[in-house]
Amino acid sequence: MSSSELRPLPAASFSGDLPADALYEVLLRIPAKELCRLRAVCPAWRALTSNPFFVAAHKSRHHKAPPLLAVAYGDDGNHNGVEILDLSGNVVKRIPNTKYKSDLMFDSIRVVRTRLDLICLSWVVCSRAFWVLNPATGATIALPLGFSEELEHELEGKRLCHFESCAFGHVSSTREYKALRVSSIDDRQVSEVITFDDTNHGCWRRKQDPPSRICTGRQMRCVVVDGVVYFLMDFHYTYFETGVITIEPGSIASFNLEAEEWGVLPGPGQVKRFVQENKKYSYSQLELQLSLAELNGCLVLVHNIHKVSMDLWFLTDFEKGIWVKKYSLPSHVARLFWYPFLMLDDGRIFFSGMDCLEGILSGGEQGEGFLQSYDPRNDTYADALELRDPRSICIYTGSVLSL
Amino acid sequence: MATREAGKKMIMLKSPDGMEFEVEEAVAMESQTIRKMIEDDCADTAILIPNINSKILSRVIEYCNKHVPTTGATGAAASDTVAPAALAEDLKIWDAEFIKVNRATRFNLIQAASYLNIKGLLDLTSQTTIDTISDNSLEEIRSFLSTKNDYLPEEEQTIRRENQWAFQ
Repeated sequence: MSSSELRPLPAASFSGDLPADALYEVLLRIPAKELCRLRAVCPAWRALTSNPFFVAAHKSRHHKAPPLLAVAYGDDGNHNGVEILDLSGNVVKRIPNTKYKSDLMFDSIRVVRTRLDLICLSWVVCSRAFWVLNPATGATIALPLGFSEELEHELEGKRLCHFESCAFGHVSSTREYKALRVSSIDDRQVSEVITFDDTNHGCWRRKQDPPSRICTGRQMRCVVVDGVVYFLMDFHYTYFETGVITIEPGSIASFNLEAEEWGVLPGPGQVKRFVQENKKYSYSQLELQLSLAELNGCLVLVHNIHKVSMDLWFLTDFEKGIWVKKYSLPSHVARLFWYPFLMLDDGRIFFSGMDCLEGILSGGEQGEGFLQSYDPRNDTYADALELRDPRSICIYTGSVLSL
Repeated sequence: MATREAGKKMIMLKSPDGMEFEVEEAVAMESQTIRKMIEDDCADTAILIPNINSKILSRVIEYCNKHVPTTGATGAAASDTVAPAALAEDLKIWDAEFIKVNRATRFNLIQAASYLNIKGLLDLTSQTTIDTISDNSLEEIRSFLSTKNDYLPEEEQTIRRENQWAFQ
């Protein structure tokens, strides 16, 4: 009888009783934080848990583990940078910024709200300058400040062009990172796109204008989910000017970063008809109640009827435009300046917010911001994390093992 | 009985210490490594499994026999009478008994399960070791696995400092 032979096992290279490939399998099943402790067992364990192949295998096995956060630190232009935190607020790594300076003396760094394995940064005051940091390698790159050639041409002889907003995302099919920048010329909003990674960038390229006026001024009106940038459309702007509702409340403009095209997505019917059906609310109030979030990989339209309830509408089917109100959270959650930030697999929701108006007025310098976890299943609050500025926080999707 | 046996393709697994095990192809294919060999047509009727001695290989086959999904006439009859939940419960009790082995055997089983790529067996055999590692101090882990600490004291201090948050 002929016989096939499997390739022989690799020779064990670790000291100890546990064979190398058995050790590999065991460590692969242990959470990342615990592995960081185990790096002190011996150099071989440290080498194994830092190996890029191991890190990638570990990441895909533990993809449901709670993510890390990145926030900015520093109170003046001289000592600042980024801190990577776990959800309990422990500092995993501190990455000082030594390269970039603001044009203003007392400017501070802001982390752009993203969910990437790169961290996107800008200044709070000089908000047009963006740079990107890869926490695993420490590499940084600044995106070009200037406008695209097409826009420069158009701008000749025209009035000033204002920068309004910038959103960053990842196109999984092409493995490209892209940024979408929205600016306004007089009354018109224009958009540009750039492709970048942590070591290189292309040029800003002019794209179609947004389908109609979008909300760019305030935070939490824009979110990126799975390579698509979503903006709330500014129904109130035209209503304010003309007294007529021409854009349905809750409508969303989407920009697909892969196709680089705009689209329009109607919001949930209940939100659209909210003012008609609830006479005690005005359109200006509705405008303040709406924000966008990304929870569990879904686009969520947040309808925070302050002091009454906070409805979370999940877009469950993009193609058919189906919205499902998965949560209607009680009045004590429906606070002013509370925004859902993150949902964990166990159902807990983290809110970012500020508890008082002073926090907003002082630009968040005094640390009144926070990240608060709330469990909707038993209506209880758990850990809270103090934040200097709740608008300056992102989710870092990279592995802690590569930091 | 005879026709059913005849309808099933058998595979010969050989351990390096010369033992031969005749198993149903479906049972052998619980191993993703062997499945790939069979699907890629790289397998003859006998496959030599290097580095896994007959004692361990027989336990692995025992596991695969128990965990292979039941199909055909007898399988359908079984699932008609026994609820899936009860079957799963029965498997859990069987697994708990199966894993009552000494440490060296368990380590060898992890290694075999890893090499043969049998996910269920890997999860089952590595869990005890994962628990031991997670629940103990570095010193205890080293002594449990007879792992030599090759760090210089100052090196170990640096590693601990770099990963300080993980000790909190």
